Amino acid sequence: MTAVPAPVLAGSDSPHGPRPSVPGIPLRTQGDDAAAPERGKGSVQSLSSTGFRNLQLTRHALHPRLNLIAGPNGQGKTNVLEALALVSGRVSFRTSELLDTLAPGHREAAITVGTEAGVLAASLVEGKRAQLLEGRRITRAVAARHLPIVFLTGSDLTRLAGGPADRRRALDRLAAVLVPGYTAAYSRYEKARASRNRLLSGRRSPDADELSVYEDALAQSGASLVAGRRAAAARLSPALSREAAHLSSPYAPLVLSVQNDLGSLPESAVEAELRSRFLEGRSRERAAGRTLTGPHRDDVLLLADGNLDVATRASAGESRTLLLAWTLAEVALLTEALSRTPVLAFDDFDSEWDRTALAHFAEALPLDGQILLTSARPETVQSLPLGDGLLHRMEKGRITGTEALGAIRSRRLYSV
Amino acid sequence: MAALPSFDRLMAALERLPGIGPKSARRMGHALLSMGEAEAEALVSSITEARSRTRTCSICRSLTEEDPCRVCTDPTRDARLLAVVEDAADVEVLEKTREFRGRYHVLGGALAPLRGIGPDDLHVDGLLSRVASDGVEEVLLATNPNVEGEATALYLARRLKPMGPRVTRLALGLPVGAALEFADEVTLSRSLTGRREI
Ligand SMILES: [Zn+2]
Repeated sequence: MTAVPAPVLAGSDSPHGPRPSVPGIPLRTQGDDAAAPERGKGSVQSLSSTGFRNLQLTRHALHPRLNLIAGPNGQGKTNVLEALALVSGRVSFRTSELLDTLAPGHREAAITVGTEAGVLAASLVEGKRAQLLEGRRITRAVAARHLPIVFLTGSDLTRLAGGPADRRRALDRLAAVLVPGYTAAYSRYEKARASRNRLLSGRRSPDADELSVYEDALAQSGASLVAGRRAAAARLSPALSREAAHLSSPYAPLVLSVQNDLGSLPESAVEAELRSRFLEGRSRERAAGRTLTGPHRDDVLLLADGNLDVATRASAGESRTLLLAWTLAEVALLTEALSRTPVLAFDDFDSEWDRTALAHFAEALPLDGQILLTSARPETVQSLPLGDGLLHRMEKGRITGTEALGAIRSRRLYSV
Repeated sequence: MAALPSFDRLMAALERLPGIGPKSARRMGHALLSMGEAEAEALVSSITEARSRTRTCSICRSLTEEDPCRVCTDPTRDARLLAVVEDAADVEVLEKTREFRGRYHVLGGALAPLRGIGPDDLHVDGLLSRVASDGVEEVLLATNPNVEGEATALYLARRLKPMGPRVTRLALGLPVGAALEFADEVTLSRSLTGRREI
């Protein structure tokens, strides 16, 4: 194995020039930077992780374009993507319980990513998560804007055929970027819902005025969620139709439709309608001990050709092609909204996917985006037109070797 | 490290103070133990004395050495204006501005369903009866500008408005999630003058 030392990246042309400083925030150098590998020039320039699952990475440099993380199963490849999810402000795609992600014997974890705008970090301390930019606390929404990443992992495979939650979350992620104020409305809604649920499920019969306080908050923020989802679906639908056509999907045109019992009620009337539903639902919901109506129960259906629910008709292969199309559409919309190409993080890219669809998918990706793929069979990357990059060999949570992808390609091609 | 059960108990007690984590508790514990005998005695007796002399005002629930407190009995204070705060410490914060000339009502916390704190756990009834009987014309809701403080203000507004007084809220330029005690005096004074009706 020819290990290519990471400093080679220092000589590559930077499309962005020198790293700018964030106004008002002094650039922090961490420890002995001179001894550290030079940062790459992609969105994720380097990655460090301690205490998070089995990962032990110290400022590991990534290629600005293509990175293939390879190794047998169970070595920590998916953990790398999950770590990036946390740094970029997302929830983990594997667990809602962050304590589960700590390495045995660790009480805290820290993940840091070197980016063009500075060091982004996520820390898990006492079961709580903090997002940081250059050592300062930021919100998850700000982290998501600093490091936009579109993920495609095993947990997405059931998006079309599974329950509404995954589709709703996928739409919400997009709305969070496309619709101003969406994230704030979402967190307000969830806090108010948790409070109202607690009042409904308590032993004491709840104070009507106190319930009203949380119902007002639910109605206000809920109306913003309804409007935001409608707006995001309206943007996603044409992009999805376009990408599905590129991937030769038989389903067209596609429309994402937010399904709830509000029907086509105009946005201006949604808040009042929600408020009266919460009020009317009190006794029924007191019996159930929770809030039974509202945008947290919305479904998002993918409809083709008018009103055919694609999930009921599509084969497994067709569903996967649509998932690839959804991913391309997400990349395109984020690129447009943020004026920069998001990172694509694709877990186990060669396991479940049709080769032809995958090749078309790769062709359709923007040329300037950074890509992270994981695989147990790295040679399959040869067939994808993705340009140059690095292969990172992963063993027991560590990167044990890095080599140019071109090298393995030529070796495989010529040494038969 | 040698077992230090008494020192551990001291640290555990210090850690229960607001804003004190394990590290600060350890540092404070060491500082307390390295104090001179007289200094330590003075600290202990000041705690004992403050505890025995202070009580909560039976009218406004703020901290006082005389009951009712000086604000409640001061004839120059405007009895038509009542500021509602979460904690007794917030009274001192507002007093420092010298801008507020009304009286106070301390709730003893904020509504927090997720922590099981409801209206019955706060001094809400006392507030309502003061407003009903004391000729209060304006209630200024000065709860903290965070989720719980906002919910508490909205709840009190619902209860108070039918009784007739003007109900206002501090117009704090504080980031959401902050607490009153972190506001500087200039900001607080400005928010007192710029209070808005709920
Ligand atoms: Zn008093």
